[in-house]
Amino acid sequence: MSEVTTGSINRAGQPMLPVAVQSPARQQFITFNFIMDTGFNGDLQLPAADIGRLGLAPIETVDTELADGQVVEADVYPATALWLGTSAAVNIIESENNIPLVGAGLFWGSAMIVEWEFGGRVSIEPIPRPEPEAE
Amino acid sequence: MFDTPTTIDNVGKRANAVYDTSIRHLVEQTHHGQFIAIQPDSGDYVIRDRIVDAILDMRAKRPNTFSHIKRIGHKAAIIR
Repeated sequence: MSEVTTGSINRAGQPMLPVAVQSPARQQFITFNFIMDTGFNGDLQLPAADIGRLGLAPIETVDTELADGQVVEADVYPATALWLGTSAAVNIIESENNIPLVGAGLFWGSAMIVEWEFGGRVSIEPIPRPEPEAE
Repeated sequence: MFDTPTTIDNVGKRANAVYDTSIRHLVEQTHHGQFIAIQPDSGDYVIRDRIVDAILDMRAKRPNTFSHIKRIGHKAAIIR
């Protein structure tokens, strides 16, 4: 399986990335289109309705600062997502707005290229590391 | 021992109370900017450089409980 995850720039000029999240309740993955937000330091943010579709249960709450400076408490849901060709443990933060975000928490350890034009390609892969020398 | 609550309601409020009374004075100077997971029923806490490590290590330390995440010396742990 490819280790590259790809997305594209939408008509609003935002980089979008499809990420499949596992629903334990439905025994299947549901793919959501996330806005890539490097200023968001969590993994994923989803509205309550989408978290309901996935059938997830929260384990933590977290102090969260919104763009307007307001601090609110949000629930954190453990989940599994397909990321860079593998299953990854992720934490999903419930949002009070309708905006799905993928953030710097999930980008950690990866390198990305964004072609900034309508329909431009977004690609993310693990940070390239030199192969260890053979014995 | 303590009774583990069956709901996540008020976990943040109770964790913040524990933080203010028992933890803040121990960590605010020495761990500024790090992430802390607080399990309010036991008073246990975990401090890590990355939020994901605070979350996962607290889940391992206190499975089947609820906890609250803060960033020490900051008003929020998550910015969005």
